[in-house]
Amino acid sequence: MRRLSLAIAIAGAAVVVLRFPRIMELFSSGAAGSIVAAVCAVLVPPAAGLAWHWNRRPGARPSESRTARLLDNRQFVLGTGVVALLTYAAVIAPVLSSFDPNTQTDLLGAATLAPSLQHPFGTDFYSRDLFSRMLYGARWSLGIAFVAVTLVVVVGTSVGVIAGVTGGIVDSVLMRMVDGGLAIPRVLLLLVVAALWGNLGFFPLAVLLGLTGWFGVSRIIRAEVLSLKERTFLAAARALGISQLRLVVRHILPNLVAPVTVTAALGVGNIVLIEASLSYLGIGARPPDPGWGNIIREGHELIFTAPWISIFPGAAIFLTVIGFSLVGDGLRTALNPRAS
Amino acid sequence: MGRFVLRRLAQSAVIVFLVATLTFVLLRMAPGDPVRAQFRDVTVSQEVIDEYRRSWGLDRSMPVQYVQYLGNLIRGDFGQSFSLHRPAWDVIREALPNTVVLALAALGISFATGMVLGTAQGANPNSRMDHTLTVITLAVFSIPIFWLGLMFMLVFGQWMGWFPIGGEVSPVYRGLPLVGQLADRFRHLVLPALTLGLGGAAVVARFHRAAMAEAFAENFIRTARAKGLSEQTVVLKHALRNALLPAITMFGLSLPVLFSGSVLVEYVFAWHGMGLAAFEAVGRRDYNVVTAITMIGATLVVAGNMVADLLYRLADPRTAES
Repeated sequence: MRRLSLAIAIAGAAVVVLRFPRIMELFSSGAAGSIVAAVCAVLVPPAAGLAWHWNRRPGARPSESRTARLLDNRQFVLGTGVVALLTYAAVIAPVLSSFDPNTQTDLLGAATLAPSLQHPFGTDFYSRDLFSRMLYGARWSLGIAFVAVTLVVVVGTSVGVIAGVTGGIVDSVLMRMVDGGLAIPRVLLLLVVAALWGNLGFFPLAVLLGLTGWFGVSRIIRAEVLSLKERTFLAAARALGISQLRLVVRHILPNLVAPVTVTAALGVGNIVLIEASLSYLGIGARPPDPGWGNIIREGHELIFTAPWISIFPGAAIFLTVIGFSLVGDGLRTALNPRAS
Repeated sequence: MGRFVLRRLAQSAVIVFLVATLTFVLLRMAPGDPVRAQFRDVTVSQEVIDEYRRSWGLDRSMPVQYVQYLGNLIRGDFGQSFSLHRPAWDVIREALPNTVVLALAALGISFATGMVLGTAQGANPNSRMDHTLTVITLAVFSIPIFWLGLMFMLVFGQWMGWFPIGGEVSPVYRGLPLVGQLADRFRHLVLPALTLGLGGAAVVARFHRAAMAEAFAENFIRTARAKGLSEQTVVLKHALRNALLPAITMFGLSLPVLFSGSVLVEYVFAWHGMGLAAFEAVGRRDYNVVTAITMIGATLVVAGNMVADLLYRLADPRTAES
């Protein structure tokens, strides 16, 4: 983790130095979005540097703690690195690229150019800069995934806890609902909804992805609650006569943090994949706005003449998903030493 | 066992009913008029529109439509396709075999590859091969399936020229002798089936590795080794057999994933199956075809899950008690 902070600090500093004129340009542009991106670009290197410095001191943290186990887990650190880098690039998108993602630079002269120094990922059929489209596409793809996964975690955990704690008829009804939800092919359901309602836009799509993704999570959480209920400390708490609500808030929820974090990390990758699939089918991100999925859609027709249009966004999706999987697996190993 | 089968059947029926209701509600709530959507490029008089609406039963009140809809579904009548002017069932009859062939080929690839890799990993935990395979399966699992299809098209279709890049048969199919026809179909199947099957293989391998590891921790393995059985016998006869149980569950769970994946793979490779038919029907607001595909898909998935549950029961009497 220490080396990761250092790497981010150095990379961030390099960005600030190399793209200094662009940062000044963004500051003077007066647009709120540009200024936020520029501020982030300037603030990230010192922040990462400070994190590196603090972790340098010996004895900065007890070596047997959960955090220590987590920070020593190579999978977790590697995954965090990948995810941090992609998120960072998405946040400071306007700093990294001078091109507007939707501007057609030169329809006749600069369409489907292969990658070059000026256009690191080449240009597409409409002569738009693909590096720029990838960066702004990351905002869409990652943003939706973060919003949707929050929803998945909140709904999934609530349903799982309610089913597990109440038991009886409530449990049966909720779990049959979950069975039903899991039986529907999800992409087909999303396809029907997204296509019939037309291009949905950021928040409706995120909500839709969230509301169709919590079934599995609630099942995991319910199982976890049921196994917690068997443990002696909960029997003791109940013997003391504490209320149901207090039991949940004070004793059950804190013990669910580990499984919930793991599912959340794995869920982000899953949602990135599904959102990209929808955008690829033409029912996710709204053209001309870029998402990784609909850039690949545009590349599909030109796959043999301009393969770079499809290759780069696919690789970005792949990196994101594998990054979050590594984070999830690392968390699972570190938070649950019995499993390893 | 009899009671379990009955209960499971009842549950499946309820789930299928819920899917039917959800489909009805979603389709009727959706913005846009299904009749006008059929005449997007031509101007038609209001009378014609009304006539179509009447003949498709869309002029009745919602509750009446719902009851009719359920009645028709129970009788297996999916009605007419709005856009193709022929029974929706005909559309399905053409698409279903293609999807089944693709899905079976993909399932075969998933389970054959996944079980072999998982067994090898589970038998040698923490070896270098185990770690390498873990990384590879994680990577395969993270590739977007439609992108994998495109890359296969690019590499094996265009650059190498080994396989055709789409469709089920070549234009010259009809003129080929029987053996040639089979070979032609096979060549078209390879890339879509690989695309759809590889992700599943990674999942099966990860799952099966864990099941093998669990089996190896059991006392009977130690007994088998203590008896002096060869390692091969221990792995194949004792560990593998016990690790096969979870694979049955795996099979049930992989059906919906397979169905979802086939929508994308069929789109990439222009494979005329249920997924592509569903995609096209949704775009044309052809409600009856969408309903038919959703219902058949859901029924297949539910039935697959039920069969997996029953098999699991038969294979492992211990679960019968709980």
